[in-house]
Amino acid sequence: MILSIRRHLFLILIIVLPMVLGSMGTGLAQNLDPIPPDRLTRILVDAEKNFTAVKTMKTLLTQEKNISIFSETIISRGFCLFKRPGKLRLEFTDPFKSSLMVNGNQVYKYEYFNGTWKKINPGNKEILGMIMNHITAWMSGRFNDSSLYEISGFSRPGITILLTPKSNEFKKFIHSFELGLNKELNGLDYIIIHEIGKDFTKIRFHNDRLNEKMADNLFNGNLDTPHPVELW
Amino acid sequence: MIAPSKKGLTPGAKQKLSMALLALLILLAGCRPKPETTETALAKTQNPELISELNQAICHLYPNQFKAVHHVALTLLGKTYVLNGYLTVNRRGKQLHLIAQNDMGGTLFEIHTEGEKTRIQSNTKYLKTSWLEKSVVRDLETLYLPPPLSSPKLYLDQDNTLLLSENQGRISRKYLFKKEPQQNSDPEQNNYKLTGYRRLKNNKEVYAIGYIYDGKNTKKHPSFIAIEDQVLNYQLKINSQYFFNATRISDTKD
Repeated sequence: MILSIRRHLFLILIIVLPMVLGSMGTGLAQNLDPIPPDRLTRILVDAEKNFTAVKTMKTLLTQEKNISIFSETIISRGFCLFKRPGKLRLEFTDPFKSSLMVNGNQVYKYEYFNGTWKKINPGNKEILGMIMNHITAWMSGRFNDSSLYEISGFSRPGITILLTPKSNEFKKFIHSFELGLNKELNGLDYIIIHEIGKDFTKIRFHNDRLNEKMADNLFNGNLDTPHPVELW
Repeated sequence: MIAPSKKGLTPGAKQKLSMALLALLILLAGCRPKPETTETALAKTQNPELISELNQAICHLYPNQFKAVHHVALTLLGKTYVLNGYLTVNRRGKQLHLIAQNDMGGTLFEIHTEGEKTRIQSNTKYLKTSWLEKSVVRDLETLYLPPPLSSPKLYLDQDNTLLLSENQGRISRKYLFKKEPQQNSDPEQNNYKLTGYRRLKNNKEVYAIGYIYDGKNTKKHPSFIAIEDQVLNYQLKINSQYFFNATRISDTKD
């Protein structure tokens, strides 16, 4: 009897363990149900329409970095502010403080070292601008840039959009972006950045506040320090 | 027409020239680098036990094995690049493994050292492996795998700063220690904390590190490190988070 239970337990472990391990790490979306192209097109059109109704959005974020040489998941926290059109602020508050702002065509970056905020002149301004433009586009519900990405969709059971870069230069750094849409299809629940190899970064958005009044000064990159934000 | 003086200048012109020279001297003096804390300005201390203890402290600032996350601002030619470094260190095995990523994600380069062997893989043409070896590898080895000084001398400053120094030919290595307030401390342990490192060539500072401890992350290990290389002409500002025994150091553990 005991032997039989043990054998069953062993069999269950043999079956369950690969399933659990298989759902971890990169390539999450590939294991899920693909959404047929015509349905995906409808979802993307609906999402863009719903996202357009969002004029301002503020959300807290938790970044979970999974890097091959660390057994620990490295957690960072922060927030994101978005104001249509073209204003975005992405700020980390813990463990390191760092702020990145887009205001129209301008990109501003602040870093906090040794107890002081410092506005910096980023050397990779063009790349930062490009990345922030992508995030701004996603915040606006525009996922379907076929010149840059192969696009596909999956049910997990929520809707997941998978963007795979086309450019070889881009592919050297990023394998794919996985964007998890919320139930209302008007915001993102998470972004997973799959890097080359097994490393991936998941950014979860929570405590969203939509269409609240948001001062332009929060995106003012001409100040010496980022305009303070009270967390919610 | 005003007649020139014997030396070819009128008294008025001489006065103006003197004023200009004086102003230039004042300006130059103002621009001159801060005088280096040298042994001649300090009192030599004969304390073999303390010398040995501080020399050991240089090599054992960190535990044998640990991990660290570095949030780094690299300033080069007036531009600043922000990177995140994920580092594992095995000091006994002289092993360092660094994955450096753009702060928005994407691995820029990876460095693996083991003893004398170094492997570098750069994914960007802007950071050449030869430059990374001269800068990042050397910075990491200086921070985490420093060899002890072979015959150091110890000097004491008036503000209780200790300078452990060694000259080898044209190169001098100096470690600065600052005395800590003796609150709830172990009387058996010295209360000096490593606050800086200087490398001099022909008595001119070529490389400097500053260590800041904030007590929030850890009191024993620097939470902020500043590096300036005056030869390769770059500065690094590093915020550090440490992981010992697979656990992030908490505020209370240290």
